[in-house]
Amino acid sequence: MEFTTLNNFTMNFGPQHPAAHGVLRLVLELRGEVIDRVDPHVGLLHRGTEKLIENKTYFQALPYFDRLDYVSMMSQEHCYSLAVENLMNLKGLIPIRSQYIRVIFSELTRLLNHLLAITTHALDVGALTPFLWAFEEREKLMEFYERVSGARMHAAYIRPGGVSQDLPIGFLEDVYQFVSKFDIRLNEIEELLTNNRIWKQRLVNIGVVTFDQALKFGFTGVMIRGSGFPVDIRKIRPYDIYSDLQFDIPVGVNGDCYDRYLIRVEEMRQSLKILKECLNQIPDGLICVRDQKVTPPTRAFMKFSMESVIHHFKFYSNGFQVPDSENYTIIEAPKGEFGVYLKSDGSSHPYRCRIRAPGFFHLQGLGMMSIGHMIADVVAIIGTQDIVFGEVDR
Amino acid sequence: MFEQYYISNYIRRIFFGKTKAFFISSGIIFITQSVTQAEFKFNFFVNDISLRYSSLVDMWCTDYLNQVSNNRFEICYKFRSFLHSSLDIISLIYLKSSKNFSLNSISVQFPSANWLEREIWDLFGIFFVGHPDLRRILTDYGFSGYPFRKDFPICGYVEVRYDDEFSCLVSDSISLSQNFRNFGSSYNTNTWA
Repeated sequence: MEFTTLNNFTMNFGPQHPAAHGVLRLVLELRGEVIDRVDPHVGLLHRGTEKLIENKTYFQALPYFDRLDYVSMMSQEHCYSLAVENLMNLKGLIPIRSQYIRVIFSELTRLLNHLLAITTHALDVGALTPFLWAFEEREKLMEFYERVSGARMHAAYIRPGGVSQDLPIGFLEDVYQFVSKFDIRLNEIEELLTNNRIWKQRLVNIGVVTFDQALKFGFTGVMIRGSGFPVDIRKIRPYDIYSDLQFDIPVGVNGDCYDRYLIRVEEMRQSLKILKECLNQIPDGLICVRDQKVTPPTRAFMKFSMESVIHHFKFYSNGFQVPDSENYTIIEAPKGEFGVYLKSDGSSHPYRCRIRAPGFFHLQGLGMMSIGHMIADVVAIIGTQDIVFGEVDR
Repeated sequence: MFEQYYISNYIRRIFFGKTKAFFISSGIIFITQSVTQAEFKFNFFVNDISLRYSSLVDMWCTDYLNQVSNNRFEICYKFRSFLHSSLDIISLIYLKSSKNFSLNSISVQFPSANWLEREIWDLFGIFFVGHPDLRRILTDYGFSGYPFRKDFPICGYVEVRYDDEFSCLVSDSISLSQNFRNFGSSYNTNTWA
């Protein structure tokens, strides 16, 4: 009898690939078309953010966070602002109106992110239309970003101490118009995907993650809720005004890609619920802490008040001094649990800033999730993990 | 919040005298221990029936370069439990200044530590004994040095550019067109030259 040895076929799923969601280099070891081993090479977008932040003041470090997960910008800003406020012991002093504004933008950001996540996943799997419809909705959301901060994407709007400027007149009415029509848009997108035989065949029982595996690999957010663990940081460690809001957390049953898709759609509907509640309840008032060490004085005040001039100068040149302490702040970013660890040494620059990105842990589990599947399923799994390389590589 | 005190008292009683420092802050318990006790403590966190801190959520390193005590690196592990999901444990280990830094790897027990330890090796130079696959993860393929250490300058030592003459990428020693502007923080040791 003659025996031939079969070798695994190693293939590069290169850094430039339409379905690689950024710069992901996957080295796949294949037996035919079935995956034996997956080795993701990350770091092609590494910018040294944590080290750069060590050289900047706390205020100058804020725009770095916009650029980490560049599809859901304000949630990272929110986490960093909360982290700095915790360091400065300002926890109970942030005005209510600014907390409501932050929550409104966090939920708008969740819509932004899930619109992109679901429809680029669909695009990779083969459905081309939801992508176009969802990006039209994203345009409307980015218009909100622009109305309030001046920038469509990297807003630098949520700052330590509150938000940078008050909402323009008529803004909340327009958000209400968007929110009241968005349900129908979401129904249109769901109609194409949810009960579609091809979509279900591509997604059901693909990338199954058991609860035990999800815990072991540090999955958070939708990835672990898909496996049945009802943990949402907005409920267990509420920040800002989330403890007063009524919303539900969708939880999956099977832990496969289809469950996670359904959870993301339902999370979008729950975000609409939160938005409506916030729009009804938002009070008038200050939009940032009055402590002039943390928030700079307004331009108008700077023109006639000497104290304001001094504070303005010291704030923008030296920055505010933060007492010697350390803190780890987590929020429920749309992709999972986003954490910022800040260690200060009493000066105006952070001593160490550690960014815990959910995508890093999800991508690490790609190897575990795709064993035994085929190449086309790897694409579906990368899409369901919602990977954005800005935060994986930092 | 009662849960926080219950759990921290429980841990304090179990490790009475064997923990160096212990404090609580808004939903996190910070525990410091020596390198040798760490493995035993992590097993305890995972297996104890009332704790069950079986998930390693984050792991990072801080470089304390010119401090009075000789501890150079502080490696922190953050654990989460599915029983007490609102309370995390951060466990700190200090490594003394020496030529080579190494620690035992926990990636067999906690698979999420795999890439985290690779990241710390890549950026800080701490070797993890027993790690299945310790290679660089975030820096470039031929990179040398440990960038996030405090004695590594912010602009690095080499720059990579495309050279027309050799028609490939070359690494040159760095040339800055303007001086590094230090805005007066005396705590920073990151200035170059």
